Amino acid sequence: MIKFFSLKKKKLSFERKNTINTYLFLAPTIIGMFLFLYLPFITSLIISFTDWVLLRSPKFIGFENYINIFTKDPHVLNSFKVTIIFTIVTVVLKMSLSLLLALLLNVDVKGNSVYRFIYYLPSMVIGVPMAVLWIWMYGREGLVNSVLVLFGIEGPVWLYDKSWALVAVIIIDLWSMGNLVIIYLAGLKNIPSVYYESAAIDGAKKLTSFFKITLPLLSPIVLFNFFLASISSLQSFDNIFVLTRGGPDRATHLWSIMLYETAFQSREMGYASALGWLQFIVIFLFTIAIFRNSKRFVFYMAGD
Amino acid sequence: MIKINNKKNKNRIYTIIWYMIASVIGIFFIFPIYSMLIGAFSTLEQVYMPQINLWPHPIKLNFSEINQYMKDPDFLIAYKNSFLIALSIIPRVTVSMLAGFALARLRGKGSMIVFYFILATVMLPFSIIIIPQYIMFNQFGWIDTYLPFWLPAFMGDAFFIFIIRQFIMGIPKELDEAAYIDGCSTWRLFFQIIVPLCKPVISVCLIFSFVSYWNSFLGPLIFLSRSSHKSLPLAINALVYQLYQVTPWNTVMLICLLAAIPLFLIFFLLQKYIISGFVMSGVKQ
Repeated sequence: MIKFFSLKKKKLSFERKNTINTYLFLAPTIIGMFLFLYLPFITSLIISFTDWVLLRSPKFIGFENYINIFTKDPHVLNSFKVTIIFTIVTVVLKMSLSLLLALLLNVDVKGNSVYRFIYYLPSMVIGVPMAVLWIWMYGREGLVNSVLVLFGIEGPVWLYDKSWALVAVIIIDLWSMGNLVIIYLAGLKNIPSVYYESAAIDGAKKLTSFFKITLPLLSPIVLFNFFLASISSLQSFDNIFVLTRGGPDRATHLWSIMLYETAFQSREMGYASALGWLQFIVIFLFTIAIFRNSKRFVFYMAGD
Repeated sequence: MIKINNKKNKNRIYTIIWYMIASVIGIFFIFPIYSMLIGAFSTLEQVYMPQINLWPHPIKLNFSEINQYMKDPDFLIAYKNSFLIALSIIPRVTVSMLAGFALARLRGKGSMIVFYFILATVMLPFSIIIIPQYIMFNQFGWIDTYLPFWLPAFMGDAFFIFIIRQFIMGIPKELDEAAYIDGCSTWRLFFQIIVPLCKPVISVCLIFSFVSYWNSFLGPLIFLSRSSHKSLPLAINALVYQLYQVTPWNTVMLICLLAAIPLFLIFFLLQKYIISGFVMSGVKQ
């Protein structure tokens, strides 16, 4: 009897000690994430229902901000269009071109790693230095126009031309697709060559084996890349802000830039929070849609 | 004999075509960076000429010009400021290790729920969070200090916690059990056994967070408005948007080059960890 009781005591003590330890290790994370992420997250929802402008006292106005966004604000539709176009074009192009490049690099040629390094290099030079480099290159006598002159084309002053600014910005985004190429490459190398060999023996052509072997086996990676690229494009800010400040004449006025201007230049915290929440809802619904449908598009290798 | 020759020739042609295509594409990727290098050491006239320069004539070391254009903050101070922000990755990765270990090994009651909440933070967009964060930091008087970067660093990073947890789950539990039998406490197990084994994943976290925080722009833009505390990206941005008669692109390129050097260094020195990092980050299910 006594033995039974002491055994039980020991078991509880270990579990309890373990739980205490777990939460000791997790304490900074739990406290920090609550204070700096979850609390602001909830607060911003509340703020979005007020008309708060910094340095004045806020007043609760319910859904008025949201209604104004959809009816009164002339810039909202433009920013929405710009953001959607930017996102769709960059994601589609980035995903397909980087896959093609990965296929190209998957060939066993001498000096292959040099090319791999070259394609990846731009994605290491990210941020403001890169944006500034391209501001220079897109200038009236910049490198881009100098190259076009060789082909007899007179280039526009890209970042100041309403019709070309968005194109210029998209090209820069594509320039740093190197990291996607590397991810695809890792995935391609993971496909056992046995599959291709037995397909070839069965008489399959290269194109067939691409669609029936490569693509299905790459689908987890494709989904991963697609998801990441979309989320990041939808929230893109840094590069374009430095490149054009959202201009010229709002031609590249992404939603995130509009948000920044509303919150930190006009100081309209309430309205800006509403803009932010609309962006979040779009991203959230998109995420759910992706995960719901992932089973349909993704094929996992047996045994993984 | 003829058959073998044909195959060799075919292969040779394909190889040459491969090099041609790969090189044309490679030029697109590398020429901008090469131009930045050249422009950094050119004279002002060279940098405005509508032609493609393959080599600076004459070579000019524009280092002295940097301080002529970068006044407030000056270049070295901005560099130091960027480092001060980037150093916050140390608490960030450390706390992520603590959390990852707890979630992988200790798994106390309710820790799975905590894990899901940690993962969920990935979905919270910065654009929603900065506004209350700014208001909060403003109340505390933390604007124009580095506290907005350092304090949140102590919560770790959801993505890092995830990959660290994955990694530690790959370490055999027998190791833990052997250590416990030898009388090792949980903390000792963590510091003396688990952490050294986690060097690869820690390197990956350090690399990625360094690149991210060295380049960070929106955060500093909002929290560091006073000139003397500006980080390098902020200072470069201000420099370019200053109304000069003629923007000194040669000096600006040199500044950008110098700003990008830590990134090149990290890439060169830790290349193998970066590649393995992609494979490790859960891409393969």
